[in-house]
Amino acid sequence: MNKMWLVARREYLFNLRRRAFLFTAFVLPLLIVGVMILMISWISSREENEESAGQVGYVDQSGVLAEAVSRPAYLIPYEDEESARQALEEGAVGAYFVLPEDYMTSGRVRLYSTSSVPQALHNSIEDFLIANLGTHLDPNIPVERIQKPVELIARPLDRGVDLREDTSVGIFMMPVVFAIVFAMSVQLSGGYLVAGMIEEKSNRIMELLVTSVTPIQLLAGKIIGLGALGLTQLLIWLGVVGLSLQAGRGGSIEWLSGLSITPTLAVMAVIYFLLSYFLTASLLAGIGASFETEQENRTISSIVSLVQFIPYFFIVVFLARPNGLLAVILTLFPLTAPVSAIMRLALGSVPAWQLAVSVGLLALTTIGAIIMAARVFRWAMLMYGKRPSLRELLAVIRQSPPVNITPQEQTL
Amino acid sequence: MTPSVAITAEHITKNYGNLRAVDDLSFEVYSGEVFALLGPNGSGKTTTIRIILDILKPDSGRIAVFGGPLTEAAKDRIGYLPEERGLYRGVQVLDMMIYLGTLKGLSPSQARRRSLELLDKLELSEYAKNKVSELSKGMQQKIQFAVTVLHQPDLIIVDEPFSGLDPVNTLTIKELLTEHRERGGAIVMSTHQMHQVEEMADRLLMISRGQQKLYGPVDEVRKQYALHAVVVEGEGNWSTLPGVERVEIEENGRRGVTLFLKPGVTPDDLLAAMAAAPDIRLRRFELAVPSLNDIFIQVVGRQNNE
Repeated sequence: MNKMWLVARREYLFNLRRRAFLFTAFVLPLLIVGVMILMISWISSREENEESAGQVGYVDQSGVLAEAVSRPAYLIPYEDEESARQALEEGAVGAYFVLPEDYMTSGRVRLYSTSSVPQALHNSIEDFLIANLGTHLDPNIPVERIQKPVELIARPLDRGVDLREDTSVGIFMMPVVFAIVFAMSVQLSGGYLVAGMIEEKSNRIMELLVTSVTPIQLLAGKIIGLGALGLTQLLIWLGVVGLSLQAGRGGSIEWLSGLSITPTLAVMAVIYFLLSYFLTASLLAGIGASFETEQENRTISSIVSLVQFIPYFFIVVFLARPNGLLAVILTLFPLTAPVSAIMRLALGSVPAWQLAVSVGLLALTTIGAIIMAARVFRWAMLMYGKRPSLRELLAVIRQSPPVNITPQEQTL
Repeated sequence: MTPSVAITAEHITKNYGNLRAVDDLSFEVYSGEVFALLGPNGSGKTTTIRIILDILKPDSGRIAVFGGPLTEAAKDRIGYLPEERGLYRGVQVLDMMIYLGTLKGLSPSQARRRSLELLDKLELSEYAKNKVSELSKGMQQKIQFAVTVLHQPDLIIVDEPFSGLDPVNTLTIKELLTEHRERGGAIVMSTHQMHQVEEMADRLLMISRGQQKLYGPVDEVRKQYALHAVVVEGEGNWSTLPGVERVEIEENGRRGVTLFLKPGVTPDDLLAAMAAAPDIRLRRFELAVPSLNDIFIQVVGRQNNE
């Protein structure tokens, strides 16, 4: 059996059994699902709360509601404020509002209630008033048009999908979800990669390993094994979240319908995912080999991941000018390419040449990073307690004989 | 029959910046022998070992292991015990041994069988399912040694194999090393424990500041440093014996009396003279061959303190 696969298998199985892995794989998504369910039920409870307030009374002193139209059943008219207050005190209504005489000019509505007022009640009072104000205008205007003057349908070119307000949330969610999922699994696998290398280095087991396998085998094995671990984690998350969402709500959120995945998007997502995982992993491995402590590693590693998130800050730019200079640059620059390209693909189409150049550059960078990481790895893993200088690192990467490197010999 | 060569080093040199760690070293290690690599701290022993193991590349010179470059197949025939010991700590002893064994080309079942055998031999069977971190330091040392010989390598390179071991464990490890040599394996042993070298090593290479100081069979090296003298124990008037130039009584006489011989007089002549002398009671008579320890100090000690 090729030793690379032995290393990959060991890294996979060993980290799979870690308590930390099991926690993030199973407990974390359950927590997230729990929070989501709470949030959804909270949002829907806000929507349904207009009924929870029970009956709501009103007193019209302005005359706007003299011949009230489209009055919801739970709005009860009262003759005067006194009887309304009495009803509130008796509990017949949960709240009442008063349209004072100067309502038409001031727009002020006074609301009295015994408990907090749900947002939904505010909305329905508004709807009720708009409808009735409308009756004072041209009777030919349909009430709906006054209540909802704009029905916005955005239609991005080349995509053939209508973006209505309720589905566009999904369009935004798609790249966001992709990038979060992507970043989480890359981060976790990368974290294990770095932690493992630090252990092997500080335990001096590295010296034993390099007399059994080549640095490339070791590095490739680790990256493949932990990549598989990241994918496993991803599948568990998607499985747990998907199943519990399905079970929890019967699959009736409107914005999910916006999550349409075109074949191009799916294929590109896989390509970008793989390339950028390997790129990130190699960078982290190179970093992990060069530094001794986990703390130093975290600092440097977080810079790598931060760069990948830059495109997020420009999501608005992508929307406004999908083919603008900034969008193109971020799509071509290898570190920001994955997130940028996926966001742009989800929002519309990206010219084929840009995708080709972007993937090409990313692939070249990834290959370069792997070679570089292997060189740094081979050289640095046997240096203990000594921080490499930038000059030494560069010399190693260019593969000229490193100068002034004195590994352990002096400590003998 | 000439023994097969495990390692051939020809004029290897390695610099770290301005420091010449290994300076034009040439040596051979044969199968079936214990080859001692000696030298003071910082003399280039570990660098030499790392060059043999292809962890470091020599700046110049050529190194061959089993007659060729260190291929993956050749690596599988080597067992290495680094001076800085290291094991995975958070894993089960047996699991770790099997993993490291498979990295040396054993199948998982072979690795398991060999691991259990060795654990049994080292009296550590009951710890097979324990985590490495739960073991005492001595036990970890023994596990590390077991990992070194797990795949029955043809060449083992051990750096300070006995450090941190009690006399009983030292004996166990020595037995394993001897067993390995008897099977025809080669052993490169770097150590500061000279009496172990005297006891076990067939040949030695002593280096100082990366340069060869002594190289050859242990017995010859010692003979080379032999004085023109004999060490005796017993009673009698040594100085009146014919052929004795000078008498030296060392360290309150416990190690015997050294008799320096006049030029041209052999130890045999002296022994004959003693037999003829009526007042001599002889309990011990041997050539004044210095211990490796003395040679070591003589060769590198002084020079290092220059």
